[in-house]
Amino acid sequence: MIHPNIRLAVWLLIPLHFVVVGLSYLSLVAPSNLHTQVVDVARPYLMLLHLDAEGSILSFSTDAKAEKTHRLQQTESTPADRESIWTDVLEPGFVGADRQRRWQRLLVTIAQVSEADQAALAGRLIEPIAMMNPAAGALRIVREPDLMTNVVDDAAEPPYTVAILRSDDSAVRLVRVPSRRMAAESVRGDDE
Amino acid sequence: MNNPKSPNDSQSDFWFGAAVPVVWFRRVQSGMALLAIWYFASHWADVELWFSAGGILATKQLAEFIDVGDLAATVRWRLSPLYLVDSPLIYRAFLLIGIALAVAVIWFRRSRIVAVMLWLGVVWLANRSLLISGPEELVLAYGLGYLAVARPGGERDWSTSLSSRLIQVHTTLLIAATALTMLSAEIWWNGTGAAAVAAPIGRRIFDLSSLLGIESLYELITHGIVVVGLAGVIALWVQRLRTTATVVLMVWCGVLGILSSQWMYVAGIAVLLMTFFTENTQHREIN
Repeated sequence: MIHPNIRLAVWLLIPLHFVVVGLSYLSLVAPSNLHTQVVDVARPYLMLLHLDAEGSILSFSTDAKAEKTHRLQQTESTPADRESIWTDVLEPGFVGADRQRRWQRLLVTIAQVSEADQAALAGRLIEPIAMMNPAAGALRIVREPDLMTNVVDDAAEPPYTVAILRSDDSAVRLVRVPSRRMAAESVRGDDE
Repeated sequence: MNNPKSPNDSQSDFWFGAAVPVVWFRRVQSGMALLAIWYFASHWADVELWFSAGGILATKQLAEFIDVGDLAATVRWRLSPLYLVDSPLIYRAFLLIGIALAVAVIWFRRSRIVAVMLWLGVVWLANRSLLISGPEELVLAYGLGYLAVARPGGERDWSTSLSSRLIQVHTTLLIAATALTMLSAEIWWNGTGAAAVAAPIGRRIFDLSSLLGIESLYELITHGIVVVGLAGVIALWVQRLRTTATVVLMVWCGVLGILSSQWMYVAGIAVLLMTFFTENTQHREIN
């Protein structure tokens, strides 16, 4: 026997629940302001229960940069220059495994915030990695070319490069190394 | 005043009258519990890397990141008691308890509390994994949450019916949103979608480079993925087509798994799709 109150609650609350879940899932592409506002109202509920869709996780592929393989590389020389020899930092897990997938998500986040000119934000995430790799003089994140990338993509600058300055008390200070393209634009700007 | 309807009187009642065979419901419970074991175990080796005091996502480090990025309003509701600890020992104990709860869901089936605690364990770990969580957590969180509503043994009951209906509707929404989101990207129209998913071999278990050389094949797979996703969610709700649609969508999950290596995610969807199997499916299997 179902209690009438349970029946009433189900009929009232469950449709509401699925409306907000559905709106959250459908807000991944290009939500309107109204759509965003409604999802924002429901966000505490969705986040608390881990029901909200983040980023483009449902799409499988939008052929975005975020879906490329990212590599974290280190070099011992400081500051890093063209002659620096970069080696891959060992990634957790094996290719395609959940452990490595999490690592990839972190690298994508760092690359994205760096490309959004939020170096301080990227620095907060890279700092522990710099501490874990005492031999590293600089770290960078590169996007690995694949069969869907073209020569322009393959020639792109690493989205994030940072020099590591170490003090005697084993603290680190990170200095963002601007890409050559940004440096060239800056020089051209000065000339003007 | 009318008496409330009993489940037996309400076969037409959408939420309370669904007849999911006990054997299939138990398979869903066991399948999701196995995925939860996989999920907890996959964190074991990286507890220090992510969550310890010097880890990349240590609470203090993460708080600074959120503060600098002014992200507090965005993430403040991703709550978890795990933010209060940074001891690897406690994290490993948490993972062991999570695995033990999942084992209990599979073999003991005595109490709803076990299922509720397993769901909470997954949600707390998923919420703690800010920046590194993905779609697999999404499926585990809702799947285990709805399963906790049902009777632990999956016996026929209004709560088991409600649980399976919640899973069915949510899974339909998820697949529909996935297929509709695909339509927003050009690659799923021009036929290169399957190739694009398989291309970053640094992220994939299977190197499908040879597939990318056969244009007609990857275009066929691309269009097939989109069409099956869209048509499948409609067919799931047509009684005559339900079993066929369920099997076809499970194959769809398998294809996406091979292409993308997102095994835990697609396995979760495939397991939850089993709630669409009916009595007829069960009879067919026995015969």
